[in-house]
Amino acid sequence: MIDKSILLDDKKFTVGIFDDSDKLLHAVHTLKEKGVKIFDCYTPFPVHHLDKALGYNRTNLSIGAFLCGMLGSLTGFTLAYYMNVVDWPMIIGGKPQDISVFTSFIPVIFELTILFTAFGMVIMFFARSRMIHGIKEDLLSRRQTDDHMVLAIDNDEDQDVSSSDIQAILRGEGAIEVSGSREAFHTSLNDEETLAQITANNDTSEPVLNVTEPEVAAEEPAPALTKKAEKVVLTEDEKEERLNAIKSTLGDASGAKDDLKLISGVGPKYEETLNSIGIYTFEQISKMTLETIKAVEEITNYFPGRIERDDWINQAKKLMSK
Amino acid sequence: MYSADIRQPLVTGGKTYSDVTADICRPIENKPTSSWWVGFITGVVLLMVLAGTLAWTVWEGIGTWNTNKSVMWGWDITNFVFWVGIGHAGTLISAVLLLFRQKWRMSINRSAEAMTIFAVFCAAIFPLFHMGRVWLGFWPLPLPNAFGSLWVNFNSPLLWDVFAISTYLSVSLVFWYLGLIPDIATVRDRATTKARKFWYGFFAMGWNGSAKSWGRYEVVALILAGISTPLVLSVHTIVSMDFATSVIPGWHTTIFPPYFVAGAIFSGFGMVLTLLLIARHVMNYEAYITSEHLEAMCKVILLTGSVVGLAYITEFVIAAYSGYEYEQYAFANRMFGPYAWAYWTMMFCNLMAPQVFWFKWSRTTPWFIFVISIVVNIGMWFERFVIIVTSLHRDFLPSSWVMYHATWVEVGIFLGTFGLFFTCFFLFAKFLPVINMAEVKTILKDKE
Repeated sequence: MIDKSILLDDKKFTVGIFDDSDKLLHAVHTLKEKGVKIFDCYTPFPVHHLDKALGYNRTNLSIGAFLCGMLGSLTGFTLAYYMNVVDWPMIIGGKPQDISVFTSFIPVIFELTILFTAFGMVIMFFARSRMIHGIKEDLLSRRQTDDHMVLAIDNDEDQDVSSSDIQAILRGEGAIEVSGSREAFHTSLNDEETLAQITANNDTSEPVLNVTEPEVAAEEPAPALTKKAEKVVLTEDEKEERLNAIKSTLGDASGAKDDLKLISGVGPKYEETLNSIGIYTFEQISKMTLETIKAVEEITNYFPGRIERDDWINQAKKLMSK
Repeated sequence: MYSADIRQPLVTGGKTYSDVTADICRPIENKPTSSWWVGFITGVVLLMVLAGTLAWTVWEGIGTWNTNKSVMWGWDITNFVFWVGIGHAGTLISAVLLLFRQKWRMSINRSAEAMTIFAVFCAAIFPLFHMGRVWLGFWPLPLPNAFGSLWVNFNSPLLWDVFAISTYLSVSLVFWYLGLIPDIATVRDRATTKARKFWYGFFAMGWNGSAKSWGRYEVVALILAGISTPLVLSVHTIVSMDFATSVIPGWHTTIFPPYFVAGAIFSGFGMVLTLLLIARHVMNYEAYITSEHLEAMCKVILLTGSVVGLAYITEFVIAAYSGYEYEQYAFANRMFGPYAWAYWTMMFCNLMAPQVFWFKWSRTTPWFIFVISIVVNIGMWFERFVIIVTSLHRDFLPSSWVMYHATWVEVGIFLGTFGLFFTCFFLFAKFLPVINMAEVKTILKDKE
């Protein structure tokens, strides 16, 4: 597959990640007021007024669509006129076959106008947005098509505002995660190992956050986002220690057993694994803390961060109340 | 943003963005449930019936159907118009309701559009096989005849139909696919298997949700909606002209285009309700397809059902008023002739049954809506049967009067198309997000 490379290779971005579209919009306004040049934003759904806030003009695709439509009308007329009047006039019911039968051509002209408009416009849209089947996506956050809204600023761009100030503004606007130099990545292979790698790669850009402004960083970032994601190989003692920690927080299932597969992210196999470390019920899962989540992930070699991302605790709480 | 407090939220249950993603991706990312298997296997079995009866039709010839010199259009064209009609709700919901800014369309438009596409597949089977020699099915295309340059006849509504339906199918497919791209990208970014990553990555076309792309995307969607609206209306208008441009009493009326379009919307919404009530129950989507949605759809059914009912009565009055005895006889024969049972079934199902939706209880009780939606589907099939068969079986010359009853082959083909329809629908429900996640996320905080 070819790379999409809208976010060119080796380009570094300052990104702020938001979990609320209003906050993102507000951040864009604030940055624009301060004269910061924003590269683009990436959202899981269309955020109204965002394109205006970013200063994008309305696309000219509608003009292209109109031209395609005109081409369609012309094609329809030419087709019908050539076939039924010029090349082989069919005299039906003694009626003349000349331009006076134009009204019979209208339905075909109309349909072809619509056909050409639709296809022409969509093809232009794909070309304009550099979309083609099989092209590799470039992302700045794995969750930008799920629930994260990414504000990206090109680090090569000359800015009047210093990089650390931009990051401070982003944090002040309520970004849940800020990074000073992030590269676009794509998630081409996604078995367990590469998934961990991708998360680890993201982490290499994190230290900027911690190094430049440790005092602000301490306030905001969610623990999951700074967590190291390499696969941890545990010694027997460490395993023992983590198992004990899990048992003491979650308590004993005392013979009860829920269908853990109801939790999104748990399959039959992982359910067995959970059972093997003494987790049987939703109640136990709902009691999980950050430490136990980490311990469970490490012991079971589960995708790092996934338990939190899929929000098992709340899922379990909901399932309990059913 | 302003929102009126008296309105119910469009999505209930206090869902967050990631809840929406997780809920709607669940069927794709997990093994199918047993109810899915039951539905899918039933669909495949009926699909086999379709394959068998079609193969028999081609092998033995069109004589396996009971259509004859008087009733040359029987169950085949009835089924064709029935399925095309059902195919109208999808694009209507996504296009017309988008233009009217009806936000409740957002959680139902995806499945309604899918339904449109599958229904048009089913419809296309009938004219194709009615030609008898299906391998010459390309003849209606504007190609020079193999024995000279005799072209297709642009004066014929049947040719308009070829253009209208193929345009409708392809534009609906494009509209549907465009709407799917951001959601396919969501599945791609959550994928945990190589196959899923590859295929969803392939079809997502590199979508990354950039604000520039979204800006263009929304303009494209709006224009597509704008051109799809007259397209929807044109398709059934042209289908009705297949009848209205002839001189057969009972067909030769100017009321046909609006009457057929209303009927198409009516039957389309009937089928959307049938399917969504099942999907909502099986997949636990009550939070997304709320009783507000059901109520709104019931109101559309009530309106279009009444329009259709008005058309039946108008048609009858005009026939009586015309003073044209053949026209008068055609309608008297519909009401009291040998097919009166079909006529009264149609009147009951389409004109009377939907009137229960004047009462709020009927619009908010799912099982009851389900029953009425089935009644509507049956009624709309009978409408086409009545129009086609009762008009043809007694024409101008009493010596050619006949009765027409379908053979098992014709019944098998009709049942088989349900197999095709449900097989496609269940595959869609397994492999694609049934609800438009990106759009639903925009209305999560809205009330309407």
